[in-house]
Amino acid sequence: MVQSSEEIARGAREISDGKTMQRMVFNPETGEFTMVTSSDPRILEGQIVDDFSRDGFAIEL
Amino acid sequence: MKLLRIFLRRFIMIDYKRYKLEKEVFQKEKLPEAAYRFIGIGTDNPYLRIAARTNSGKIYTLHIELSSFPESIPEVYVTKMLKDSNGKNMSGASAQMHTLTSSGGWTRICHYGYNSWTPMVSLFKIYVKCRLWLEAYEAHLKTGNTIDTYLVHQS
Repeated sequence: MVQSSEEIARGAREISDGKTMQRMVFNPETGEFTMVTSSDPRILEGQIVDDFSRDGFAIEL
Repeated sequence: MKLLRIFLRRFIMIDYKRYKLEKEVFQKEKLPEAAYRFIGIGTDNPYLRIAARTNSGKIYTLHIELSSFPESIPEVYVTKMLKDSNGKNMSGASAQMHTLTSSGGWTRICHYGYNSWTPMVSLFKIYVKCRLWLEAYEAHLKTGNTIDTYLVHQS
């Protein structure tokens, strides 16, 4: 199921604040963001883009 | 100083080698070829148009100016004037909304901090960041929360 903008946006903030263990994955083929647990196989399909911890809105690829 | 900048700008622009590298990154990342188009490479007005579809299925087009890329942070616009949750045009610079002053009737996204920029940043990375901004924008429309509620600032 495709996650909503609020889920993704909230997830982004929670990652930045270190308040979740979830990861954010982006699938360029579908253009979809997904918040997943670190053991979720969707991590293999997409790309983890959630390195917000360093200096704010800073996705490292 | 302004004349010097204009003069230098003619020579500081994406070169063919960097253009090829950026295309390779897009291909490696499996970005559909139909989703993007480089225009004007080798001229003094190069840019990239790239489609971005949010999780809700809405499609936006991003316009990325390449005339001073990668030496400087490229200007990125959504090719329309977006409205905030109060119906107001998102045309001004706003830290809360991660926007810069619009141009040509298009909303401009503030996607990179000045102190964080390096010429090694790829267009793909810029695309993903702006794609995430669009997700935060749609969350703003639904909740009324400012975009910096979701996306913290970069230096």
